[in-house]
Amino acid sequence: MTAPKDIFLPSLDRELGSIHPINQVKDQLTDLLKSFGFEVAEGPEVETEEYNFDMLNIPASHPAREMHDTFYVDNKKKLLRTHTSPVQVRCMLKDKPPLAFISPGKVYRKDDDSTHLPMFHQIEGLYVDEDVSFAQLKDLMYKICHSLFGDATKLRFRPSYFPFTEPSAEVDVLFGDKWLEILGCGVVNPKVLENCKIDSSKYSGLAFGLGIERIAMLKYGVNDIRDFYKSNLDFLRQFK
Amino acid sequence: MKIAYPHLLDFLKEKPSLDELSDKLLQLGHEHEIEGDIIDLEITPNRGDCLSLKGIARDLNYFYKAELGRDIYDKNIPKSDFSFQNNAKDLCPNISFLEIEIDGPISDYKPYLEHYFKDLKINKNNFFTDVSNYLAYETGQPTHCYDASKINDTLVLEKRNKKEKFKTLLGSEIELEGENLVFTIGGIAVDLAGTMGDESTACNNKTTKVLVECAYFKPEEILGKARQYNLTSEAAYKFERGVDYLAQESVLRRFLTIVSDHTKIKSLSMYSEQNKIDLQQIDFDSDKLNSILGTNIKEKDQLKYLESLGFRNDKSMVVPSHRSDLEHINDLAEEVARMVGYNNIAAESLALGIKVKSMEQSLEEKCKNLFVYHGFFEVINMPFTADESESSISVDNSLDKQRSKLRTNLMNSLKNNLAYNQNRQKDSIKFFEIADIYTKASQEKRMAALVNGRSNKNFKEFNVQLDYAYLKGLLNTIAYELLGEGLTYNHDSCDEYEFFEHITLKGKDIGGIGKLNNNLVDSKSKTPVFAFEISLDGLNLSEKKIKKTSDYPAIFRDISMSIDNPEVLKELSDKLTESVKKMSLIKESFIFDYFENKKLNVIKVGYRFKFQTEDKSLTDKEVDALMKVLTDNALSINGVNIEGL
Repeated sequence: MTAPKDIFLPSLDRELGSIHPINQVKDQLTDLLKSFGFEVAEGPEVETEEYNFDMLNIPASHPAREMHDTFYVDNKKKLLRTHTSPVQVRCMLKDKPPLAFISPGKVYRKDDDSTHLPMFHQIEGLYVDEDVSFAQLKDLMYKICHSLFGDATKLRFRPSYFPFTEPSAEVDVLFGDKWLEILGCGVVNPKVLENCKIDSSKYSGLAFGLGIERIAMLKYGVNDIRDFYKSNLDFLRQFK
Repeated sequence: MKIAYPHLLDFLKEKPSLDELSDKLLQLGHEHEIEGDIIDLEITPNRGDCLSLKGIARDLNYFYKAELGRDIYDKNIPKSDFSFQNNAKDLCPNISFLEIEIDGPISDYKPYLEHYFKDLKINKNNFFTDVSNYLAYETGQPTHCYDASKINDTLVLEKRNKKEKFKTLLGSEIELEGENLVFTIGGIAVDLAGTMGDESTACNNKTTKVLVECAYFKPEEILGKARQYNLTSEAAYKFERGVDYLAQESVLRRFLTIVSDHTKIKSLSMYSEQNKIDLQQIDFDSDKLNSILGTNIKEKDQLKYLESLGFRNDKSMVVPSHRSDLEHINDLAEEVARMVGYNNIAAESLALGIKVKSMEQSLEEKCKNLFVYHGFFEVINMPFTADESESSISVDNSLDKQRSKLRTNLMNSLKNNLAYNQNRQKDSIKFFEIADIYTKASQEKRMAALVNGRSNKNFKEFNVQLDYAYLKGLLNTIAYELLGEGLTYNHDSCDEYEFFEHITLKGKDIGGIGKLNNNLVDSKSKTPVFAFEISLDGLNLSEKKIKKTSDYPAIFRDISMSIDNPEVLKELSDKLTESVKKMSLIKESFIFDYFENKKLNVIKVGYRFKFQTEDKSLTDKEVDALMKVLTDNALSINGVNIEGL
């Protein structure tokens, strides 16, 4: 049997593009957290000190407020948000508990070296309801980390300090024989709830935040954070 | 903060191994690295109390029984008659001074002092300063030593706004400006409070009479001063994080003991001011503490943990004066959790009491998927730029001049991305970016895309260049398929583009599309670049209404026209689109053929129309009537001809 000539013709291959790797990780995390019941909330990147610091119990004396850590704009009238937590403040002021929000987005800090960039991405989550506890927070952190890195992943919780949570913790994940810090979390500081007009004697909350670049670097084996922002086609082509 | 393992063991009754100690430090929240016997701790900003041997030992008390007691001068010390005026009691409520005179210079140090310098590889300075530095290491409380023979007038503590030269005790010259808390003598600043003293009153190896100042400063008053004047100050680091506000006098007595360990004291006197003395109290509720943690820790165990940290249970929980970071029950819960170990608290299953929200894709997500399907790569750019425009927001403390403004468009970033890749021999580039833009007046979500070079890497499209029609078609696809609306284009001029069209949707200007001016792209390549940028604000996915499909046959009719002028094509297209909108029997129409005969200067264009209804088969007569309307409309335009008519 003679084969038709069509089958010998070269195929008309077409190249697919790709979502930016940082947004791919952000979308995966967002989808995961949405499946738990979290709703996505967005807010401005140019923020006020009130929402970025005051409402979150970050005292006037906190080093983060200094000009060397925070970008101030428009003659110090506003700033570039240093985290996505102000979005959660806006959500708490707008809605009544129970509420569960995640706020993925760009944040800014005055850094620029091989391991830090002045802009990076975070995804932060907040859940406020009656009787929310640290033990439940741990459960959520296990679910997130196991979804990201596999069910066998080992986690380690360490006390830390964030003015907006108390107790506060950092979570390390074991990669090979090295523990790597993956996220920060804690029980929402009652002062923050009160600042947001939520009765802290009735409600409690849990909060967490992940740096997306860090997870993307681990997931894809990228060693230099700056590679994500060169817009090099050879780099981007690998994330289809 | 670096501490030596053997030094820490001196403050613990039980002697853990370095590994065991390391685990416990981590459990308590003190991240660290170990090199040899040196533990380099990264203490969190709220734990100023742990910036010393004593502080770390105190935190480890529950596990290894801290032995904090040290020899201390407990005899009565005569009151000093030196003249001090505190004009900033609100910023420095507690302060003590100790005046000591010794016989002569000291060169041989006792082992505990010698080991401090040797083990931590710290350079010695002069005896009094060395004692001061050691004491900060041991207790966490900075002290400042003045050469008492150089103080010949009232020492005044004041906050003042004065521009003045200041030569630090390390020899660097700085200029104080703005408001500073300073110690002054005769109106001249001799000590930038809590940060660094000046050269004129500093001790040296010949100093035999010293005035030691020991204070509690409000942390926010010291914060940022060292950085502002580019000084490295261990004292400022500690004051910024808060020191024990009741420790000043006891630290000076310890200072005295260390001096007396080394030499005979000829004279001594002390001056003290104590205005902040009340201890913080927190209501203690064992059940509430357990509910915060999700645990069942017995009350007696909770109290045992807290008491090991220096808390006193007196109806409410009395907070020790070295802990300025504790205010409410959640703080106590954290203390108990640290003692139990975060890793020892069992996770409790969490089901959010909230319904899962809609998982449908947004317009932004659908646009992204469309771009990706068409071979576009998403880029993310920093928002910083040097481009000045009246509406751009300035960054007050930018990293450099090139990044001193926030961008007011996405296109300039995409042009840079293009140039970066063209300069790396990329000959087929399709980029898009979706991001927020901030100006003085507004915030806006924008979407921009850019194409350049070859259409694709296959034998049919390799030699086909990405062109204006390609990009415009993509934009129209987004409009028709996702927004359910058509776009209107209006030709205009724009400096950035060789040609440019404004894009409007339902009468609203949403952006523009055009051929970029290659001279404005930092690349040697001169292949055409086409780009658009639109606002996504106010754009929503069209609501999907599923219509009944027809089982009756469709009728297809084509019209082939020749046009002698390309400008006529737009008029023709607008007119036919308008006509089709009015004809409910037309279910689909599109240009199926386009050919430009450059020799004859004629454009041939073919339109296809699909006719169909849901309730019957259409007759030729019905379709012919509609086709006549369409052809009449087309022929009413000057320059349109239909062959055979």
